[in-house]
Amino acid sequence: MAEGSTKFIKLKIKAQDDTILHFKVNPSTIMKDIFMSYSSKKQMMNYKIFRFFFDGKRLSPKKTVNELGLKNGDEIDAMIHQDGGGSACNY
Amino acid sequence: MKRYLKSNLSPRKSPRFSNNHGLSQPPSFNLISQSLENDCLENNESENVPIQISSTKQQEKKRKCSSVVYTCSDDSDSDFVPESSYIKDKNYMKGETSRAPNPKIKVRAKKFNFRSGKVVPKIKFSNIVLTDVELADMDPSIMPESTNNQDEGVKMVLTDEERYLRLKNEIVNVREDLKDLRTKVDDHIKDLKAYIDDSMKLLIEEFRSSKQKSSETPTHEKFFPVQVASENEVDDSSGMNLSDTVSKYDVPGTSSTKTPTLDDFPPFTDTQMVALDPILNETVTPQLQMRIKNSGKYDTSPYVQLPEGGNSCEKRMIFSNAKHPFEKFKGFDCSADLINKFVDWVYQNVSQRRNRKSAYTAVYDKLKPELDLGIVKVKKMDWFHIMVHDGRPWEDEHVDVIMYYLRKKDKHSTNIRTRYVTTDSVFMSWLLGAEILWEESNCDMSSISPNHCVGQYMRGYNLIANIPWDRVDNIIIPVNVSECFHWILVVFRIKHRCLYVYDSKMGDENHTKMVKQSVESIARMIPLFFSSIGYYGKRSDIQWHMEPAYFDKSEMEPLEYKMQRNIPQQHPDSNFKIFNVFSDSGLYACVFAELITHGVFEIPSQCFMPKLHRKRYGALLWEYATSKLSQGAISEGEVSGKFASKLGEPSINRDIVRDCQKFQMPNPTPRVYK
Repeated sequence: MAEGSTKFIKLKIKAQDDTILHFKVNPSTIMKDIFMSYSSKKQMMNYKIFRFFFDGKRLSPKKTVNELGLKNGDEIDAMIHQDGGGSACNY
Repeated sequence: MKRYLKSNLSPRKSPRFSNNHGLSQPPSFNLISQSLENDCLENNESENVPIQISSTKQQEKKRKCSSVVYTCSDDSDSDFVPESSYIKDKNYMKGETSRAPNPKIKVRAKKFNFRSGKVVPKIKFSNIVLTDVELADMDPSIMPESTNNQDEGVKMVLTDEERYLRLKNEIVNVREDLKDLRTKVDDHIKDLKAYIDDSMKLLIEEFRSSKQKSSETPTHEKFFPVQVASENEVDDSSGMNLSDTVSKYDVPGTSSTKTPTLDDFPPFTDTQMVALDPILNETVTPQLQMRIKNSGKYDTSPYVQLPEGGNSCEKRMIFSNAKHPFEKFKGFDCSADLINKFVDWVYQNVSQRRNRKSAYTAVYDKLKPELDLGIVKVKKMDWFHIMVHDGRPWEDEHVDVIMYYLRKKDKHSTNIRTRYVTTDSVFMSWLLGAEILWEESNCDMSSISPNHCVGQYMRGYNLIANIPWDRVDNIIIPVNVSECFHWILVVFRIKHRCLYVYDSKMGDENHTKMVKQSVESIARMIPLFFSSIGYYGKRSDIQWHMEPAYFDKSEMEPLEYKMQRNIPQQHPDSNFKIFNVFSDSGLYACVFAELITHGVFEIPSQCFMPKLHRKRYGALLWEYATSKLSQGAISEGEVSGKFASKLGEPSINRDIVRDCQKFQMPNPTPRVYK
């Protein structure tokens, strides 16, 4: 492995209710792994329930931490997926 | 001269000649060397005399010398030779002594003598008798030395008077020679001076002529008074003649012999010399031109690699001409061709199977390359299918994208009439989270800080193309009422201090209750955040005490809210008429928002065609994204380096990651504040 693999990045994931989870990740990890571990901590089966934002931009789950240019101490927002079209009244 | 030199060198040379007379002899000593070989015995005899007289020390020296002499003198036994030295010498010269006398041995012996003792030459000089001729040739300075050295002394032939006369004559001769030399040197120096001046003149003439060639000046005579004169008088115009004439026309007072110098040319000044520089420099080799480098293929290629993952830091970004998809078509117009084209593109590969999650099979679902819509990168065809197809509810991404482009539309417009800003769907969830915190902390204002996400939204951060709320009049907030699976639009008109709620499905009691609940939370939280960020102080264009809405109200009082009546209402989907399912609320909210951006706050309920609006939005976004892709352009705010930072600080330049393969961390650079 390269030299840079020994370095770690600390990331924070902040939920809607201001609870923060800290993650210490390798720069080469794929974001999906982080999302999966976060959703499992939140007792959710699927990570797609959450939307992960960084500075108002959605984070792609398939890219690595390094590709997205995340730095040490960056804060990611995890919002619950929103959907709506009206309502099904007469169920 | 020769004499003079000889006299100087003679005291040194005289012993040297005497020492190695066997090897190299000046002609004057020829006789001596010959006589030496002949009269060896005589030398011995003559040697004896001084030994008897001299002291014991001298005796020892002489003995050594004599022993040496003995060897060289062909086995002539003598009594006073010491045995030890004799034996030594004998041992040394064993082979040679046994033999008959031999000239070779003699020479060797002589050499040996020369090495061992220095007194030998004395012996040799003892019998020197010089002829008259030789004496005359020899230096007078040697003679007294030789007489001093030799005790017996070869008496000087010349008397003092004669020597004196000779010396006198020599001095006279030397003086004459010196005189000749002086005159000769003077002549040469004069010639040199004349030559240098002539060459200088010629050079100047050349410069002048070259100058004249370029510009025929009438001041020829003025610059060349000398030359003109020479032409008149003398036919030849060679350098030497010129110098002669120059001397004639010199300034009075200077001697006729003095040759002219550069100073004698009155018009020729230093500045002219400087002006001549370019002519002089013509002979200098020109400087080499540096190679013009052609940029490589990578740099000249028209395709830009996006900064994510690529190394495009050296390239300039190309920005697309279209800032947002609403730029091309004013109002709600959209060309039918574009809509048809888009609809064909969406529906061409739709899978026929029912109850599929996506409308496409996995092969056709994938969009490659992905379409960039600012905040969202669309990777799936299904995204567009959701947009277009009836009965598919919009997700937050669709609403966010349209809100984002509406925001951009205002930011890049020159219209001052209605300023507005939109938020994305996440804003509402942050607000609700803040409300819960605030209630839990028993209305503690410390939980509401300007660094909270809601505060950052208001201050113009945390969102792409965000505008601070103190620069706008209207704030458009899409709200997802998650309890009833519904999108509503809330418009906050700051001057009215009122929230206008645009709900596309009214009438149901339960539904209106939930909507009111969420709207009330907005109405409660916004004034709190306004006071915490000091919003009212920031606005100078509104006089708060003059406004009727703010007249008798405190800062923290909740906002009023108003449900808008007579607005277009959703119809149940044609596909699910039996179940009475509504799925267009997201679209309705977006259309209301777009109408408000045009300044239409009272929306007429007639002539609202949701199907057309779905296709229109889809077509606009698709066309914008594909044109962006074909141009290889990226929007200004979407480049990762341009984001506003989270904590309300000025934006930070993010380092573009260069090599993803080696997992190198970006260098820790100090924060650059813009």
